[in-house]
Order: sequence, then structure tokens, then C-alpha cells
Amino acid sequence: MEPGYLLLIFTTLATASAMAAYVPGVRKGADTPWLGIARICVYATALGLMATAATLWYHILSHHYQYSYVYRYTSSDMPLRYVIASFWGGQEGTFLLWALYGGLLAVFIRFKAKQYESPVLFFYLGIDLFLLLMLLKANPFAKLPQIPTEGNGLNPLLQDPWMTIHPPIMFFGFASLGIPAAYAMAAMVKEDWDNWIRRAIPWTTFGILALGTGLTLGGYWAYSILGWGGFWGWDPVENSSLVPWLLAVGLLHNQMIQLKRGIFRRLNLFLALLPFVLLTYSTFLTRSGVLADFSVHSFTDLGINQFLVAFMVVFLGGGLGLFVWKFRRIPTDKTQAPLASREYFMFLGSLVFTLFAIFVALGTSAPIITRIWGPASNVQPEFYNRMGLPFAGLITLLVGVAPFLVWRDVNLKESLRRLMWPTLISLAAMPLLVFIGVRHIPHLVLMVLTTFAVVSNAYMILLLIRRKWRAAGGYLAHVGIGLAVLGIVASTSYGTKETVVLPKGEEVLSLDYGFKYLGRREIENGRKDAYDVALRTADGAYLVSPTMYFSDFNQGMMKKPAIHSFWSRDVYVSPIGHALDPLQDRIQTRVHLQKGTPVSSDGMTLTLIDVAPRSPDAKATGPDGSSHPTKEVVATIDVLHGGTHQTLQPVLQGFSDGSTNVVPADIANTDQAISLLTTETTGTQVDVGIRWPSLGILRGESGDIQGNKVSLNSFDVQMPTREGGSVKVFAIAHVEMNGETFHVRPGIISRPGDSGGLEQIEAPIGRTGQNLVLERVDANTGRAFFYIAQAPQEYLYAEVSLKPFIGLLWMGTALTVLGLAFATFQRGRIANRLVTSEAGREGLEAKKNGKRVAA
Amino acid sequence: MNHKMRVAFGVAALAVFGTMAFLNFNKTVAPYVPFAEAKAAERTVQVAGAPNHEAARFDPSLKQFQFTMSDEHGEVMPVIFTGVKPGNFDEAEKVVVIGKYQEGAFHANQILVKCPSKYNDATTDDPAKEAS
Repeated sequence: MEPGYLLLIFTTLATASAMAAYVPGVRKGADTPWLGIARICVYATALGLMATAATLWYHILSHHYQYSYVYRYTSSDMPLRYVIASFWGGQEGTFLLWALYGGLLAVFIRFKAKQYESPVLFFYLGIDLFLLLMLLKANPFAKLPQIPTEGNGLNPLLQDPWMTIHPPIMFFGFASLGIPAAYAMAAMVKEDWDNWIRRAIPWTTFGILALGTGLTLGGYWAYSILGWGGFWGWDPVENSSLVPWLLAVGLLHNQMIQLKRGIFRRLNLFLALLPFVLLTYSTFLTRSGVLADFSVHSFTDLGINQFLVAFMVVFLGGGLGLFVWKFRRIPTDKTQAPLASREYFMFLGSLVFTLFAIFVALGTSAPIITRIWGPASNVQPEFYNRMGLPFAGLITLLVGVAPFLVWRDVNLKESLRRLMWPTLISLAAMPLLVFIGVRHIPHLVLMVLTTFAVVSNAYMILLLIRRKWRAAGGYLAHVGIGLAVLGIVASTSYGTKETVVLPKGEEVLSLDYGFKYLGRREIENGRKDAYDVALRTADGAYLVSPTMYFSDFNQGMMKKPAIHSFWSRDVYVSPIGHALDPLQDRIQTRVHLQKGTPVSSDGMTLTLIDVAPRSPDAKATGPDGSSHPTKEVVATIDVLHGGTHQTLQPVLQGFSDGSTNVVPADIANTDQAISLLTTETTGTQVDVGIRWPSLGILRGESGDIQGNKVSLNSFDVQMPTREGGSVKVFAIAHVEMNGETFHVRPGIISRPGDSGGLEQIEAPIGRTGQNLVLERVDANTGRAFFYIAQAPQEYLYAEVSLKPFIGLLWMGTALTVLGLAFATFQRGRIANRLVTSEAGREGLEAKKNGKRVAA
Repeated sequence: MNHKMRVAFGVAALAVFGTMAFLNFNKTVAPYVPFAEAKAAERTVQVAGAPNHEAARFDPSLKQFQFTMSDEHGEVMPVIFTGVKPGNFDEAEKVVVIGKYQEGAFHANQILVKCPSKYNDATTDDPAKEAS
């Protein structure tokens, strides 16, 4: 058997043994004879998980492709940092990562939890046990029947520094949010209703911090890499991390109330279970495949659905069962919180967060809920956006007012006096907001409220900084959240976008900026193409370079936007495509014909006899093979070639969607064809194109194209680097034109797959303005077909958008993270001190009384 | 405010929340239907199907992205999307279009493309076949 799998079995047994050995201590307290064994098993769990992870990393780094996981997510040509990161490229790896964090945190708790060690670790290790059981089923060390020589590679979209650190941070948050739940269950078993709070608070805060950081990184990645312009899509995968985050924020504020005031004991025990239960629920939603049709992410069933369901049932059932069982025994404080007290406002804030979490969870579960009465349906993003506005308004109001309210009591006069400045400043911001263009009343109200929240909390920090700077973390997080909300509203509601077509070298004005496409440039050893665009503002010019490249992994074009940040806005340039000529058929000569007037071109004489619409042939199909043309125009042209007249009828088809299709007519006795390109509405003039036949020559031969001598010297064939890649064939040729000899290297890329076909890489013939095109290479004879064409106009299609004040979002989230980190540190410090003194007191009492103290 | 009034107030607030949530849900829920039903429906619906990549093109003058798609029953329908081609469209074997049917074509206001994310890609699930 695999060493890695053996390690997994060993670790699973160690975890189960640790749980079993902790059972006697769950109710009794710290010292049972089993405690030593339990601790050894905890260490063994952590070591086992580290060894398992190290084994997986070893296989990944050594490119052992016989392992399915290594094959699926890595390849030899990946940079080292992405090889390391491919550990969490797949589901199995992320479960292992989650379990690994759990194991390490378990060791940490073993040293910190003191008399809570047994019950907390019993419940907390339960999570790891489930994760390990799932890993035994969905084994990351599964082998393939044959050994592939090369791996599949990691999706290039994920080969990004932000995406590299996003999962490890996210799963750290997942692992931390299990701890408050474990503490709540432990508290219920021990019937210790208050002490668990301060021990759990640092973990709740840390979970919010880690999950929040992960969400922000994911949003930033979506914004800067995916190129759809947004940072949040209300996708089930995003929502499933947002819901536990919202619940944890609600929990944290309610825990703070209990810490200060000793109320909400029952509610907190219940709320502490929610973030973790919802984490398991969302893990189920996103990994079981039930939402496969409703998410932009792809999910596959790994065959662990029954484990996921059991995971949910055990933790939800166990936690709720315990809660219901103990409910009557939980002492309640009958005193009511006054309406304008700080605890009441914090409670309202906590309630709003929890309700919004439920709301998002309901929306995400829509495909499951609607299945009850009809076909599975999901809700549109407006569902969340509509409710988000009033929720954000309520929250910012509460966040703005709460810092200046006092605990327990109502001191309206004092509170209002202190609130005066923040209120005045935010009201003063209103005309400014109207002036810069915020005219929509709900947006204006929300922005004023948000300004109020920011100013009020910043003011609070100023007041605290001299006396109680240690308590400033929370207020800093509030300032950050306020700024983030401002950034979100400004950039999403007041952003503008436009699709532009940028001809090379010509400046196009859009959204008050000038955009000039400068040209294409190869980057990263030719693996990607950067498209340089000069962005001109009133007072300067900047270079922005969106990139596009063909990904062998995804078998498609990858498009990465370019962003230029000004202090008040981001200019976002998202590439759509790059085209050399708007026509599919390359036309070498374009001729304008007037009715009855002969025109000589390319050794023939063309005369337009008539141009008229005709009713479309119902059987004819359009270029897409499905829709019928809605109109057709036929030109009747007399062609005099080689002394004979012939009458040709090229057709231009139009479709309901506005697209057109050209049906050329072949010129007899030549390889040329004539196409109708445009018609005048008057029906007297047309533009036609003449296509030349291509020249087919073998290696070493030369031939003549339009009076120019073209010689094919050799081929340069580049085979794909691995299976599924593309074959590139270049022709090493030279062209004699205007008395000069040019060396040119046109090529073709053959892309496998449905959307395949050939892509020509045209080669410019010196500075003549003409290109040599390798049309195709006959696979049997090795005959290469060339033609010479006008160097086409190059176009870059892009979507440009302005994101006003989006910087506030990133700055705000950074401040929030900073504030949370500070708060976590301070809360941890306080909890540590209290727990240590608690333990000391307990030990002293135990000695004095000569008996064990329960709880 | 006494205890009873507070409870009444809380219940009222929850009722408002519940009603808002329910109304919103009904308004924004988009059922999953084939093209045949989409033609009859007046509301926003979503249709899953296989896009025809050959027919996909972006029209810069109309700023529209157009393609045809065949749904699960094989019915082919032109799809018009005002906007740009979604990022991973080229490699998508299946897309979900969300919008309304109007005059011979499905006007999508959103195209969901199954993006190959960190989750397992179904096409690479059986590597034994590919790795010979």
C-alpha cells in the first residue's frame, strides 16, 4: 500500500484514539488517567498530518505522475511556486489542508485551553476525523493504471500569486471557525455558561480575519485576472464562504455583549454553532455537485456525498441536540438592555448580520429549495444586490452610532454631544456627494450613512489612541468596512463601460480617455502576447498592456485585463479579441464598380451590369449553420478575362442578427473568385473583392505570385510540448519583390478540438506593406500553399471601463484586516491572561479543598 | 418599551424581513427551462446547452456577442448577448444563458460559462484514457 495512504490510516486512528481518550475528561475536567494518552494521540495526529502533507508535496515536487492527483494538477514546465501551490489545486488537497490546520490548531489548543482541553479537543478533533475519513475515500494518493510521462498542469487562471495564497488563508479560516463551535459544545457539556466566551472570542476574530482576507484575495483575483470587471459575482462558491463570515461577525458582536454584560447566554451558544454548521453546509453545496448547473465553477462528485451529509447531520444534530437538551439549564438574565445602550445596538447589528447571512444562504440554496415544487431554479444577482443596500444602510448606521453609546445605561445627552462632530461632517459630505454626481436617493443616503460610520469610528480611534489604544482594533475594522462599502457602491453603481474597436495606430476616444493600440508584443518567451495600448488623459499618457494567450490546458484563449489606477478611479481595459481583418476571406484586391463602367484590375475587366435584392433561398443556411438569411443581394457582373466574357453573380447575405455572409463566385478558367463586399442603397455601385489562387510549392521549389518570386527553403515544425498541445509549422521562405529579397517565416498553428482549424501567422515582407501568408500545408505531398496579401489593418477589441473609487474597497479591506489582526492579538492576550489566572485559582482551590473542581 | 412590545416589534421586523425576502425571491428566481418553454415564458429564464463555437462572433458595431446554442432537447437557437464574449467561452462545452426570448432569438443578459476552477474538471477525471 501507498506510504501516504498508510499515513492517512495511521492519522485517522490517532485522531479517533485521541477523541476516545478525551471522553473521560469531557465532563470531569482536566486530570484523568487517559489525558496523557490523549495528548500523545493529538501530537500523533498533527505529526501524521504533517507527514501526509509532506508526502503529497514530495510526490508533487518529484513529478510522480503515477499519482492521479499529481498528474491532474501539475506539470514539469510549471514554475516552482505553482508546483508547490498545486497541493491545493484539487478537492482532496484542500481537505488535507483543512485537516492539517485542524491538527496544528489542536496542538495549540492543547497548550492553551487548560481545563477546557478535553471537551474542546474532543469536539474539535471530530472535524478532523470526518475530514480524514473523507480523505480515505477520496484518496489523494490514488494511482493511475499507467504512468503518464507528463502531467495535466495547473489551470493557468490559477497560476497567479493571489490565487496561490488564497486557498491556504481561506482554509485557515475554515479551521479556526470550528473552534468557537467546539467551545460552545464544550461549554454546554461542562455547563459553564460564561467562561467559554472569552476563550472563544480570539478564535472567532481570527476566523473572521482569515476568511475575510481570503474573500478579499479572491475578489481581487477576479477583478485583476478574470477580466469580467467585477470583484464579486454572488456565485455559490463565493457565497458559501461569505455566509459563515457574516455569521461569525454576528457571533463576535454578540459574544462581546455577553463578555461585558453577561446576557445572551443561550443565543451565543446557538450562534456559535452556526458559522461552522454553515461551513459544512456550503462545503456540501459546492463540492457535492448539487449546484453543478448553477455555478460558473465546475464541480464533480468525488463519491463523498454521503460523508458530507453525515458531516452536516452529526455536527448540526449533535450541536442542536446538546443545545435543546441543556436549554432549560442555561441561566438567563432577566434584565433588559435599554434601547439606546451600546449592547442593544450591538445586538441589533449582530441580528442584521445574521439575517443577511440567512438571506444569502437562502438565495444560494434556491436550486435545492425550488426543486420541492418545480424545476430547479436559481436567483439572479439582483436578489442579493436589492437586499444588500438596505442591509448596508442599517449596518453603517448602527456601526456609526454604537461607539458613542455607553454600556448598560442610556446617556443620550452625552452620546449626542459626542456624536455631533461625526454627524456634522457626514452631513457636510452630502452636498459634495451630490456635486460629484450621486443623485440616486438610496445611494446618497447609504453613502452619507457610510461616511458617518467611517468618521465616527475614526474619531473614536483618535479619542482612544492616548488612553486605551489596545481597544482600537475593532474601530479600525469598522472604518475599513465603511470605506469598503463606499468603494463598492461608487465603483459598481457609478462605473461606466464601453466596448471599443481600436485600429492599430489610431487613437479612439472613449469615456473621456484616449486609447491608442500600439501593437502586439511577445512576452514570457513567446507564450503570451501583450497588446500595448497608450492611455491618454488630460495631463499624461500611460502604457497599459492587457494580455491574451492560448492555453493548452483550457484549450482556449485566456484574456487578462490591464488596469491603470488613478487616485480617484481605475481605468480597466479588458481585451476581447485581436483581429487582422474584419473579413473571414482574405481579399487581395478591392475594386469599386459603378453600373455600366468597366474597370480593369488584375488582368481582367469587370463591368457591373446590375445589382438587386432577391428573396432569400429558404434552404440556404447562414455561416452558423442554423439561421436563414433574411435578405440577399445579387450583383451581376460581366468579367472579360483571356478574351472571353462570362457573367458572374456573387451574393451578399444578411441575417436577422445584423451579420453578413459573402458567397463568392468563381471565375472560370482561373483559380480566382469574385466576392460582393458592399452595396450602395441606390443599387448602382458595389465594392467587389478579387481573391487570388494560392501558390502551391514543394520544399526547394519556387513560384510566382503576382509577379513576385517566392521560394520555399525549408519547414520548421514545432511539435506540441505535451499531449493536447498545438502543432506549429513555419515555412522558411524568401520573396523577391521590387528587386529586393526578403527572408520571411509565415506559419500556421493547428489547434486540436472542435473549435480547432488552422490559424495563419502572417509574415510581413520587409516594409512593403504586404504579407506572405502560409495558407496550408498538404499533409500527404508536403506541398505548401502561399499567397501574398495587403498587410491587414490590425484591430484590438476591448471593453474599457471606469471604476470610480474602487481603491477605497481595497484600502478598506486592508484596514479591516489590520484592525481584525490587532483585535485578535489583543483578545488573545487578554484571554490568555485570564485563562492562566483562572487555572491558577482553580489549582489553588483544588489543593485547598482536596478535591477536583468541576468546571 | 416593555417586554411584550419588544417582542411584538421583533416579530413585526422579522415579518417585514421575511416578506421582503420572499418577494425578492419570487422576483429574481429564474427557472431552468429548455428553449421551447423559454419562447412561451415572459419572465427571465435560463437555458443550459452546448454552444456552437463556429458560429460565435462579436459584432463590434452592434457591440453584441452572438452564437447559436442547442439545448438539452437539441433545439438550436441564436443567442444574442449585448456585451463581450465571456472569458472562458471558447473552451466551454456547456454554457448557461440567462435572459428572455424575443423575436426569433434568445436575448441573454448573462452567460454563465463553466470555468475550470480549482475544483475538479470533469473532463480530466479519467486520466487513464488520456494518458496512454
